[in-house]
Amino acid sequence: MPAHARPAEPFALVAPGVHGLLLSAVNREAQDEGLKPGMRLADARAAFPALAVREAEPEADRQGLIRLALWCGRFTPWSAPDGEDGLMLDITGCAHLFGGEAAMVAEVETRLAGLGLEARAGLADTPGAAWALARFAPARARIAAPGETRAAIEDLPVEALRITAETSLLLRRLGLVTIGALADLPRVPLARRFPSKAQGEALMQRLDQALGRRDEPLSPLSPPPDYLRRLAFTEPLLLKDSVEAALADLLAGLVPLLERDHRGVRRLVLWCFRVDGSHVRIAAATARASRDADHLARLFAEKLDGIDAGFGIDVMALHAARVEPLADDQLALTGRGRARDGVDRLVDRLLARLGAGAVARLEPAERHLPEAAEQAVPPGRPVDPWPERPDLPQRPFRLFERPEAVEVMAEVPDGPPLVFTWRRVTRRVARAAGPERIAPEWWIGDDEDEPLRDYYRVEDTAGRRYWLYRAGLYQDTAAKGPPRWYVHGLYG
Amino acid sequence: MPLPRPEPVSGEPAADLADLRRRIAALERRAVAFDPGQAERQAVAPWGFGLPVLDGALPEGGLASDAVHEAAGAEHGDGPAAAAFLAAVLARLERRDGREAVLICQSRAAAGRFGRLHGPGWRALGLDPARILHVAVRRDADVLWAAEEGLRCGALAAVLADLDGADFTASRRLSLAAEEGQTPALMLRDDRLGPASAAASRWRIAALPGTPDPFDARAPGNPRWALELVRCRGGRPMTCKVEWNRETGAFGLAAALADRPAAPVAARPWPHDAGARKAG
Repeated sequence: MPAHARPAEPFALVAPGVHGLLLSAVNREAQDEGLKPGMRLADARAAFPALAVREAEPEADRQGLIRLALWCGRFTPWSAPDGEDGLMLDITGCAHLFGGEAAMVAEVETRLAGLGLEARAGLADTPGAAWALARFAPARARIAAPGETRAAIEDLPVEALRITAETSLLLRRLGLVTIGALADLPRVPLARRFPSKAQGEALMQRLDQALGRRDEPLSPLSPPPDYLRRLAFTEPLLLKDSVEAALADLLAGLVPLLERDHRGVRRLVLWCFRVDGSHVRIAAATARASRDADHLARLFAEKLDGIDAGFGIDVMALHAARVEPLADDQLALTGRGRARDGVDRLVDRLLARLGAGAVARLEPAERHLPEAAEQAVPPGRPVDPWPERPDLPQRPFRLFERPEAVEVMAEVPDGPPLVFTWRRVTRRVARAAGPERIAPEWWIGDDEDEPLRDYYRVEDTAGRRYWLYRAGLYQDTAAKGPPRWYVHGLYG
Repeated sequence: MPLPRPEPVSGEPAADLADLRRRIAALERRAVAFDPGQAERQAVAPWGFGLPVLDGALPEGGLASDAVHEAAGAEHGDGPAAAAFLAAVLARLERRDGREAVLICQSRAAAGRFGRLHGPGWRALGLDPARILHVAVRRDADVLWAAEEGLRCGALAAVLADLDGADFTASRRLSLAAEEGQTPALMLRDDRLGPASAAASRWRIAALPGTPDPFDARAPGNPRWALELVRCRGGRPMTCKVEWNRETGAFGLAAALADRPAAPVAARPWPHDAGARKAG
């Protein structure tokens, strides 16, 4: 809740518990009145009748935390929500952008305070130690220097190890109050003190993770990019022109990195972090690896229109989310290669604006049913060659997605139509060829009742040409009803 | 614009005439749009029909390969005939500079009207479906946008836009894009060539009863179309009836009698002013 909207009165969030409503969170004023999370609402009201309450929304909180974690992408691409009330940022290699670790921590805290959030940041070599420092260390000692993890956390209480309440109760009964006391003990006798092996094992794992003896992988919300460029602005950007200029800057910084490593980008993600704690994310993909700044900028050009800058964008980051090797000689091409390159770029632009699925190439399929004899494949990969001249009777060049029903007068049992009515116009047949029988593909579908089709090529008296079929046979009328006729395609 | 001083012409009247025609054609082209790449363009072989009566009516002996050409059915039901005519024209286009791909943009309404593309049928029309890059979008505006992008990129053999209709501005935009990318654009419209257009040529197509199959008199053979060149920049309007040979992909003049196969073109030279003229 933003600072200005926070009530100065004691306030609590409540959630249903086993014995009625329980307080799930309280503000500072309520804390001062002696209220604590976990109290029953009835008890709290008894102690402080004027308590303002609202229902807790854990799911909304979780979503909010995820949004906040994404927004923290402005500090590092590697961010994730941690538990119900924490964020974990891996800032390896990022601190120098902010002028050192201390300055970066200050920046994170100031930014979050600007959003009206009280935050405490801890910084250490391991996630476990950082977690402990953020929650249990005094404000002056929340940053552990590299290699000084043990020294930084040994005076903290054992609860800082992310252990369960039972484990910490047991440790306190044993007189082990600080992490330092625990870390020095021989491990095997200590583990034997726990009622279950799993409990002891869990404690050892947490201890080892905090001290860096055991690895603890973080899973970021979005996979970290291979290449990243970031720009921060002292004055938030509000206009599309300045966003475009910033994008050009980012690309100009990214392309040399790609060149150095002989890479081209297949997928780019542009993050725009707004001052109000929200962000916009735009992705663009290419059909073939590219590191042409102009081309990449054009892929974003259409989408920049949709950006809402809100109160301004103060950080932009460009992630090369997917890269592929791209040799230099792929860039200098002539004739056929240049045309292919041009087509790939065109496809990128078309897909960027029209969306996936709007652009396709046609590929032959080994199927008998005409509607299945070809498939639309996404451009970018080579298509199977089409057979030179098929031996089949001539096919129409336009095919209806759904065959259209027609009224037909035809010779029984398998003569071509003589007169048919399609789209409310009656057409007299001048010439016809057929039938060409296409049986249902029983080995693919499980619909055994699908009737077979007899196709006819038909020309009417005006010279217009149709591809008609009869679904079913007149002989089967008694069993399956009369056959139906359809127009499936048109010839020129 | 100051006209270039006429150069002394040779004594041969036929040669003079040809020379003047060429100059006038050049002037007319320049009046439309000044283009420094003109010399380069003229090196490209003309995109003709292989039929003197048709090619003679067009400047440069064929369709301009950097301009927009429109076709529509004479009636609503002739849409497929117009589409097939454009497909046949497309199949005659020579590939140059390694440009292979043909962009075909279709609006959803157009696909519902006369069906979507069917690869095997395009194979039969003489165009390898593997060359087709198919764009299916909802609105005409997107068809025009995609066609324009395709024309400008200069890497396509041709662009075919299948849509309801387009206003003058849209066709003008396409023309400029076609010139910029040196790529021909074909526009298949459903509005019977209603409003004015900036297209270099406009065709109205009607289906005619086709020939019988040579091996089965009851079966349909080659299609025949009545072509009307409604308007042509630097050319003259004309009409003619053609037969399109499915086997060879060649245009021929439709024989006068309905059940006779097309006359072989090479055997019978046709005078240039055949076919009724009509002001467009």
